[in-house]
Amino acid sequence: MIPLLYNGKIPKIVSFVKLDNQPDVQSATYGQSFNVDPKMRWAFLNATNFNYSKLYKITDDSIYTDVTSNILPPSKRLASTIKFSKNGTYAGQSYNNVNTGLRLYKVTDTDFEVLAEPDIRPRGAQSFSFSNDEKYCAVGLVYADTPCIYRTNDST
Amino acid sequence: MQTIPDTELDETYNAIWSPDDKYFILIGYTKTADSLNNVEVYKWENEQLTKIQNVASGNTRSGSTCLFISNNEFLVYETSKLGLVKYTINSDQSVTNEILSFENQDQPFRRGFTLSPNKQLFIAASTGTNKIYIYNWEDRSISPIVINIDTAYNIFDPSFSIDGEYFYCTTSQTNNSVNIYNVIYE
Repeated sequence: MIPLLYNGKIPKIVSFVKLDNQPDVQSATYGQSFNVDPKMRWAFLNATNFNYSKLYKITDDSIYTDVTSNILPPSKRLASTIKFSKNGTYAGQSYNNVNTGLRLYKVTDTDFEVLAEPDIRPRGAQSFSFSNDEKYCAVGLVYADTPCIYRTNDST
Repeated sequence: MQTIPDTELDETYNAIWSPDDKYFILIGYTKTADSLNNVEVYKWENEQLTKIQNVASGNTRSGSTCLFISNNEFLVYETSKLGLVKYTINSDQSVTNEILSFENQDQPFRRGFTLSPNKQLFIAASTGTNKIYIYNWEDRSISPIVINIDTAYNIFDPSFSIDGEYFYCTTSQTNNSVNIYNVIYE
C-alpha cells in the first residue's frame, strides 16, 4: 500500500534503498534495456556492444538468479530492447546490426520458451513493444526501413 | 506482419500503443526533413493504422522515449524545445502540446524517464552524469531528490515494478550494471 505524498511535496522519508543482491551482469557491457515481468517471476537484460542478453529468475521479489542458459540467447549481437507484455504472457526482444531480428517468447511460471523468431530485412531492429491487449507487437527499425507490427499469435 | 506505409521516418526509435490501444506513436529520424526527429501520431483500429498528425520535430537523436500518462496524453523529450513536452490527443483528433518545466532541470531527460504507478514520482535518468532525478509529478517546482549511482555515466531504461515497490535502471560506460532499488514510502 503506497501512501499519498504529504502536502503535495516529496517527503524526505521516501527513500531508494539499493538491494543487496543485484543481478550479476558479468561480461554484459553497455546494459541498455532491463525489464521485469509484471508478475515478478522473470527479469530480462539486453546489453549492446557485442554482447548478449541475460535472463534471470526472480525469487522472493529480490533474488535474481541467472538462468540465461535456459533460452540460449542470441550471442554476439547488438541486443537492443526487451519488453514483457502487460500481463506477462509474452516477452520480446529486438537485436540489430549484422544479425538483425526479434524474438517472441511465451512466458509461464516455469518456462521461457521461444515462440517465434521472424526474419526481418533489412537490418536494424531497434525498439520492441506490445499492445496492451497483448495481441500485437511492434518493432522499430533503423537503417532505412519502416517499422513493423506482428500478431503475437502468428509465428510467421 | 504489416509495415506502416504512411510513415515519413527513415529510422524508428520507438513505437508504442496508448494504454487503451486506440493510438499508436512513432518516434524517429527523418533524413530529408529540416529537423531530424519526428513524432507521428496514428489511430489504431481493426488492425489498421491511420495517421492523425506529425506533431514534433527536434534536432538530435537523443530524445526517443515516449511515455503515455493517460489514454490520450503522452510525454516526449524534445531537444529543440529544451524540455519535456506533453502532447494531448483531443476528441476531435487535433493534437496540442505543452512544454513542462522542472525545478533544477539539467537536461536529465534524454535517456529516459518514467512515472511511478501511482503517478506521484517522476524519475528522469541523466546522460553524461551518474544521477537520477526524482520529482513530485504534481508539483515539479519542488527541487528533486537526486541519487548518485556509483560511477555510472549514462543511465538507461528507468522503470518501476507494477506495484511501485521497486525501481530499476541500467548503466553504461565506466560501470555496467543493473541497479535495483527498494522504494520505501513511510
